[in-house]
Amino acid sequence: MNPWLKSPEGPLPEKVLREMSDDELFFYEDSLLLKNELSTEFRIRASGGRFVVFVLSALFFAAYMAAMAVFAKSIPEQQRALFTFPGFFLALGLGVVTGHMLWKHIGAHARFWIRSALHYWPVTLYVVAMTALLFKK
Amino acid sequence: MTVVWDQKVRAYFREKRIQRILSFYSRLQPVPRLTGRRASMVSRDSIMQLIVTFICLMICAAPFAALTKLIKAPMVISLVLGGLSAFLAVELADWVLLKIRRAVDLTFDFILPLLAAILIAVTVVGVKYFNWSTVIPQRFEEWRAGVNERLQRRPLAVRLRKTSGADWMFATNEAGQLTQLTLSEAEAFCSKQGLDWGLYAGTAQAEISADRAFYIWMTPGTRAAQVDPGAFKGPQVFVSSSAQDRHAVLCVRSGGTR
Repeated sequence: MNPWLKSPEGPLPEKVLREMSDDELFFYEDSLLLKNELSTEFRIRASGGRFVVFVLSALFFAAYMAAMAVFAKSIPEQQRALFTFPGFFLALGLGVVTGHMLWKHIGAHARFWIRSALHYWPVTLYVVAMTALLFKK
Repeated sequence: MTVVWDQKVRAYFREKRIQRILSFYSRLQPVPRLTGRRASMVSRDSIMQLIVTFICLMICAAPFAALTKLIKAPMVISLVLGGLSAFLAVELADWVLLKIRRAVDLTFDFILPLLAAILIAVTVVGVKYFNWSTVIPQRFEEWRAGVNERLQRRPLAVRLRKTSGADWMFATNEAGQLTQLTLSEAEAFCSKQGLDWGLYAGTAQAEISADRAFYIWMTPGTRAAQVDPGAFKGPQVFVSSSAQDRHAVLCVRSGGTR
């Protein structure tokens, strides 16, 4: 059994959910999603949040690697591997941590809009395509 | 009026959020490490969501496209209708997935593994006690040959300027289409035309003019020659065939084009 289901902050009865205000429901759902987007232990319903966390982590990893490559140029070539080998893993770890931290601290409303844009991907794609056409004209 | 609509929309999205949370609770199941059912971007749910959304997009796009055409809507309105159909498709997909969630879970978690287990057990028993390892390939080969023959029995969709000349003729059906016969049927068909008639042997025959390439039986041996589109200057391409294969039949009179 998932320990969270038994914990005090576990599932709320439907009655309690229905008594919540719109804002309370909004933040409650966000906290549930966030908890699971940042975890690899739970099965979750399709949520774009995990995709965003992955993309953010990959972007930060690439950024750290680029920064490291610039710095590595100043190191003599014979000693460079001593720096780049652990540097790769450091950049990977830092990238993953930064990606997760950014998603965690970006705010519930920003997360909501990003998740919605991904969930309503046909609409997002449609808007992007139409905007691109507009600018082309 | 606007206020009522605003309240209705809010109530709709509030109810949807509550249903999402409730469905979310049921997802918080323990994750067996061996089966690897972990939260991932390419999960079963994500794939189902994608498939159902695509289907709903097609369902929703059709009436909107028809409506846009019918009312000859100006550009702006058709753009808005397009966006609206995409939005409604996602809403429909969410609704469908919420309704079939239990059925999908049951199918993937219970019915499919059970069916797979039954299939494996039946196969093992069949191979061990009923000699399926030879019977099944044999039946498959018979089925394949049957389908192949059925396909080859159909008349060829080739348009010819003429199907017969003074010293040559194609085997055709009542509708004048080229029929495909086996080698023995082809030889019998040609010898039926007369003593000096036989299968085509490979000389040029400019009188034959087809709109596309096709194969004809050729003597000697079991091989077929390709008749190229346009005036036929003799075969350039050959295909080795078996006696069961079917090709078009060109009979020629000896002393003529043979």
